[in-house]
Amino acid sequence: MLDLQAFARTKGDDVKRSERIYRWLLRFYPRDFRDEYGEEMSLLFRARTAEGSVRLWLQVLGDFVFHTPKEHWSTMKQDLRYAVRMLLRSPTFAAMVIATLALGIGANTAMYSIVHAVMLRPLALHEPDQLVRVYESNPSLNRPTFSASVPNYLSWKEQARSLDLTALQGYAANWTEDLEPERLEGIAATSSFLATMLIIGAGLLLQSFARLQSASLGLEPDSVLTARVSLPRARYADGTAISAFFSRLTDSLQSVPGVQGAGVSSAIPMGPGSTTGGTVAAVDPPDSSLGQPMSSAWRSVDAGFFAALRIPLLRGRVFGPEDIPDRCCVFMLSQQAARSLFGTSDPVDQQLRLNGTVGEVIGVVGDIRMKGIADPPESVVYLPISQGGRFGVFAMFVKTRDGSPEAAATLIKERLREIDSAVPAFGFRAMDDWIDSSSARTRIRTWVLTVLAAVALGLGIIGIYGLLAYLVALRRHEFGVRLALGAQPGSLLRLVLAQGLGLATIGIGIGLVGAVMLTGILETLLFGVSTRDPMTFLGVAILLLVAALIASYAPARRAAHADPIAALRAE
Amino acid sequence: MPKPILPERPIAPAVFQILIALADQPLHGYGIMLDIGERSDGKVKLSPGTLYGSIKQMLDDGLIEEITGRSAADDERRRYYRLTRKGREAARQEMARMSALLNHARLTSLRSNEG
Repeated sequence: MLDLQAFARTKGDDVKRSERIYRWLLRFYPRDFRDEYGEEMSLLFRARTAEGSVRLWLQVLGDFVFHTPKEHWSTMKQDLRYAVRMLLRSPTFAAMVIATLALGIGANTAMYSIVHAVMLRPLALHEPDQLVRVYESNPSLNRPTFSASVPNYLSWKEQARSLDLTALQGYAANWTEDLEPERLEGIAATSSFLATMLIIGAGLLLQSFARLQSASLGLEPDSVLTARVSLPRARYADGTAISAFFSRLTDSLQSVPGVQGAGVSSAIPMGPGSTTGGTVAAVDPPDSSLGQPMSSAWRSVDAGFFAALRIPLLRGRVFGPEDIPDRCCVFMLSQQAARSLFGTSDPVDQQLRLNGTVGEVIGVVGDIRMKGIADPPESVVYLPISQGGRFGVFAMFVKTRDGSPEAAATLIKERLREIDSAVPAFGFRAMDDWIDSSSARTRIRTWVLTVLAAVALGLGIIGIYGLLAYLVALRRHEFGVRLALGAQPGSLLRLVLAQGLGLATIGIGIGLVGAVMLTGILETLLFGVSTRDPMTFLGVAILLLVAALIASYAPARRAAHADPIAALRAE
Repeated sequence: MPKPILPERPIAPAVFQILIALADQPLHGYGIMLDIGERSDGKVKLSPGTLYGSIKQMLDDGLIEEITGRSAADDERRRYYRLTRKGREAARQEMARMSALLNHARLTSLRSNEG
């Protein structure tokens, strides 16, 4: 008997250990997958430990080797697919990415041509490292090196076997390959006009992003901590028990000084949870055009949910202790659901059918964004926790005065332990976090375009600088002559600056026109900003002119300070 | 070039098994596994990874959907899944595809003990 108990205990320990190992292995799954299915997978694992462990562990090993990478790959594939789809869906965005690449290649080509031609001054010969200079020397005259005479050169050339001789006279020969400045001007203007369009696009997106951040969500996420709670089945078998548990918990939390609201829902708005939906219709529609069943989301919530997230009650009342399962069912509606189902008439006390269950509407609350920050608010039917049924995981919302998430998390854990120490809370995250992740796509899109625009601006500046530097280098001689003939350095400075600004103005002008034509397609990406926002256009034009001025200044100074003697000596 | 006998792409065996399990009633993950086990006399036991990996894929593809709060006797931590119309259609197509394949097989010498 004693042995049997010991055996049973060992067996129990084994099961626990296996489960711990299994839970540890689950960490190798992508986080989203683990959050969504990890709990159920461990339950399933536990249920199967009874049937013998060898086969199970072989399967788990197989999962680990094949399914874990597969899930990671599938997550990555989804991201890639999303990226491609987004590029296809937003042709402007794609065009801008391509334009930047083209611009980058163009500007780089221009830059390297200039560096190649002006700065490195390569010889017009292959393999310049094999080039040597040949001197004559005459030690009797104490002259170690002097240039060869023409007759000597000719006789050397005739006799040379290992050398290929060529002669050079004077110093100022152009050994560079010929360039075509006209083409470069085109590049500078092109880069500034593409930069204009890109920066306008980025400017619009940035503004749109700022507005999105301050968009009305229908709820106040500040100082709200969310947590997820999973109720063990044995003690919380029905809606009454679940509802009783949560009302004890929220009452206990609300009694703490500093807690401004505590509530429960089956899902976190703009976050995870069960995305329950169904068919809903008014039983006695006030208008024949409103009788059609429509699909709508539904969520199980308590009154504290609206209080914690500061979702306004517009009509009727919120759920209360009187809404017990026996008095099934009562519903609350989001404003949009109320409007679609009952039009302009008051929905309170009206009958509603949700997935075949008929109940009474007791209140209407403000619309909130359920899916994401950029998605419009949708129709939602709310059910009280006692009638909403069972969910694997419920979401808790606690709003505190000081907003410290750590303090709120500790508080939730403490109260949970007092009420039922077997109920775990996990996934603590500030409500703001969920909203941030929900706007992550927009944020990334905005950042990408901003970075591209910054690159375009940089390339535009380099383009104008490079071109002017090159033109000034070409005309150094002319500037020297002008200065020698009495031209003022200031007038030369202005001449070059005007040339730079002229090029930039042409580019910016074309760019502004292009932007007016192209940003129309950007409209779907924008939120609360006109595609022809005059401030953006004006600001970008000024920014680019200033940039062009800065880029032109250094070459202009060089022109103004050209040395007339050096220039004339080169003649 | 002969006409291909089976134009549609076959469904993965695990996915088809899950579609069959859900054909007549909504079930949770463990229930699906038990159902598949019973139908195969315990020969087929999906691993947790295969099961939930397939469920996720099927949810994404719209073959099944999640339902909650079915009845008071349900396990609260388990999610229930049921077939969507698309899932039912996919299962029917796969069934037709397999029967066609079987019919073709029966017409060959495989059926008898010859050869």
